[in-house]
Amino acid sequence: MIEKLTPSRVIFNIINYGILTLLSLVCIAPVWHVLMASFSDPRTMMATPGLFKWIVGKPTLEGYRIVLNNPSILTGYRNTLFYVVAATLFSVVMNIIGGFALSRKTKLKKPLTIMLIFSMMFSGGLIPSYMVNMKLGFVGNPLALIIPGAINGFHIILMMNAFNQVSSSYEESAKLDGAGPLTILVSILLPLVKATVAVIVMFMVVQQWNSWFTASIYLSSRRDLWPLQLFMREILVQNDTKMISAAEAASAASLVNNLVKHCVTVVGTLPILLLYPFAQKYFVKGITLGGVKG
Amino acid sequence: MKPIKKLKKVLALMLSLMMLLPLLTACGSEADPSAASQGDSQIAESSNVGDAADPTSEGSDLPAGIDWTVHETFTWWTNSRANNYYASYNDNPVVKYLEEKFNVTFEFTEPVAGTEVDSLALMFGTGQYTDIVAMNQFQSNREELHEDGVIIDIAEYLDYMPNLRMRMDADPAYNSHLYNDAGQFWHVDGYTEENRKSSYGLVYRRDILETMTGGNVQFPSGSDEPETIEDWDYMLPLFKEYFENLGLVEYAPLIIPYLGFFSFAELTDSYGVFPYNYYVDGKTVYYGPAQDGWREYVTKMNEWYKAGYIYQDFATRTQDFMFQPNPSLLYGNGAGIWMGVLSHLGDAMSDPESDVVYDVRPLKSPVAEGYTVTDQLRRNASRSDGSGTAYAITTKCENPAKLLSIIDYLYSDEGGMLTAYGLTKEQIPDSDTVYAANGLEEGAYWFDDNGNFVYNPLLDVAGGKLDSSCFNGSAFPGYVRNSFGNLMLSDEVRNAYDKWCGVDELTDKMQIPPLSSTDEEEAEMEAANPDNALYNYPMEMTTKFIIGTEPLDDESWNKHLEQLEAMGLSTVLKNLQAAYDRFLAR
Repeated sequence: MIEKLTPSRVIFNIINYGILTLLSLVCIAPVWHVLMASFSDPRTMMATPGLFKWIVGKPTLEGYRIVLNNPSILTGYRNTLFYVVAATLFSVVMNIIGGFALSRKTKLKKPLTIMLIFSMMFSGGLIPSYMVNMKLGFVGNPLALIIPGAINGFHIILMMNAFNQVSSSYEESAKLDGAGPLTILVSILLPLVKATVAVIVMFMVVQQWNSWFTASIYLSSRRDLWPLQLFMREILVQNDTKMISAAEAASAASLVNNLVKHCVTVVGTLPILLLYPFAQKYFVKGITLGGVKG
Repeated sequence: MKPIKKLKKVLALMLSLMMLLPLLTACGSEADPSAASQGDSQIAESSNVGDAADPTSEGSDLPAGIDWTVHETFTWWTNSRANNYYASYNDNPVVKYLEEKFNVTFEFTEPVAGTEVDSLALMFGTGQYTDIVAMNQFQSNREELHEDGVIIDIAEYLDYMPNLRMRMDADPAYNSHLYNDAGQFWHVDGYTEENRKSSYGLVYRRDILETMTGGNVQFPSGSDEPETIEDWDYMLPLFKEYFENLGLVEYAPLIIPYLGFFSFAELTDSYGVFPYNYYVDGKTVYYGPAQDGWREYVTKMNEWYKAGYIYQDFATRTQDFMFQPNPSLLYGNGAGIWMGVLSHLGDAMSDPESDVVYDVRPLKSPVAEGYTVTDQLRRNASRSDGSGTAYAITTKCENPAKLLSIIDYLYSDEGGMLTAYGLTKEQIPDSDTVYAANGLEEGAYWFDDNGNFVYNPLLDVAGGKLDSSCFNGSAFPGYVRNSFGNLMLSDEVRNAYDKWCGVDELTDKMQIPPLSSTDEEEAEMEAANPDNALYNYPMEMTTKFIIGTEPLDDESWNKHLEQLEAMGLSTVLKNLQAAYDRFLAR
């Protein structure tokens, strides 16, 4: 059915698209600026104020050459890919199980849900967490990035709501055919809540991709296990430090440091930026599915 | 209940219990072998000193009184030293040398760059501290750390540190820097052979003045370089005219930080004051923003601001680096005077694609009329290299005497060469791979046939590409024998040091050193000056006076003084004076 465009509808569309376009530009502009700056001449970049619409000065790949020649970057990529895959898999499995358990009508459903929500609002803090993880042998161990952060209260609630949306008749007919809880979960429910699972996968992938703080606490002495973002951060902080203590550094070196910052940002962000548009459709479906009743 | 169903219930219950178990892992704690109740004297008694047979053979250069035959491991927390030459500081060549010399192993823990504060807080909070800890990022009171039984009083071990004691005896200012009023001290740090210099200071564009005067720059003071406020009154209009002739919309004859003053007292000490805090003049403590000189400073800045000589939006530049403010103006040929670094000097900032050749020169803090250079403030209070390499020994260390003996070696003349320059060819240990891998088989330095000091040309300090700080012991405390390095400085750098720090030789005025106040003094000062308003208030008022939001007449000045008095200035000064008197008596 073709919706008839009334004048008020047209006005609304114009304003709506206008605001959304403006918001999009506000989001895209800094990303574009960083991308352009990463190819720009370092000195011209310093002398040019404001956001860049295009590459300034003579285009150069010097920044990328420095960043990609850094052996730490390849180590970081390798480690990050491992953490993203392992942590996402483990977390998704645990959150699905947790959501399934909470979606069952049991006496413990309400108290467990309250405990879960409580844990989302309050936490012990860094020092108690560190002490627990230390006792569990996670310091200096890659498991520190996989196990402690696997359970996420929000994801469990998302899964719980998604399972609650599924008509009970599916479950009942499966039970009549002799299916147990595991079969019901894997063969009946999961295919019906794929969108929500995809949302959780995307959240975890982005979270793991961006994660650096946990690694800085538990893996500080194991550079061979650092994720990419931690190496990136070190490069950025070190370049700032070198600029301050530039007693003998050539001026050119301190200019290149500024260029390197932008290249580091692009190298660290590009994979996720490329992945997101393909997962977008699952996002909308999955987030709304969890919130719709009936 | 069917057996299988019962089994599943049991399994589910066991799984739940297993998941709950980690909640209890942090409960209870092991007895801490170095519990807070242990006094330093108990630790001293447990060290293997005194009665141990002296293992040093005849001719050994190892300190006596320590059993060097026993191999020990010391854990060491230091700031991040990440570099491209080795994976961890454990592989630093000077570390390897010391390990072989003293039959020890050092295990360094380096937090990720930028996370030092969190890492320190975590370490102290969990009690998992190393034997020795870098303290420059520690933001709380070190005395409290001692009271809590975390760090030891190094003064009790001075018998094992003859070299450090020699340095302290020879320099009363350094002695006062280390001790507190009770005769204790908490950290060892770097001590420079010659006065510390500075890698940053005021710089100006000489080429612009040459252009505007046709090569005939004539400062009112008669000097070749600007030295007085009148010289600045001569320079600033020339800068402004130059930028206006270029048609620049945005320019800055003078860039000042967003707070309205330079943090190290440049320009404010032209009028004899420190801008936002307390300073001392020989024996007396003063508060800068209450002095007439402070009023004269903001009056002059207001005059320059209204004339357009100060960057008009300076108050908004809160994110600028102190040493590279507003890069677009600096590199876009739009700045005349700013706080710069050594790498800005000469023609280093020139744009190769334009005809403009920069000539950036270092600039002394000028002297105002009615004042002299002895009214200015020192840049360095003592020859301590500040908080850069301050280390405290924790109560976890089982043999502090041995560790401090090793550190004391670094305060000797020989040890001082390690910290400042690195290893000679003869000192490179067999276990080292770093020097060899980077072409430094001849060592980091040597003395030629005439006895002249020579850097290895591969190092950046000699024009090479290798970062010299990665091949010396700059992370260690000790005696920094910078005299040789100072001889190798270029004329440009030497001139900059002279301009930026030359005042240190001429004046006793300096920012107030860290003092120890008694509990009563602290309580009185806190009651009189809650929330440290005396620190925050001038930050706010300086900008207002300069921009003109607040008038600068007698009435507003008197109101300013009354406000400071209402914030407890007299009480605070009285207590700080008492603490400073004790400092001088250390």
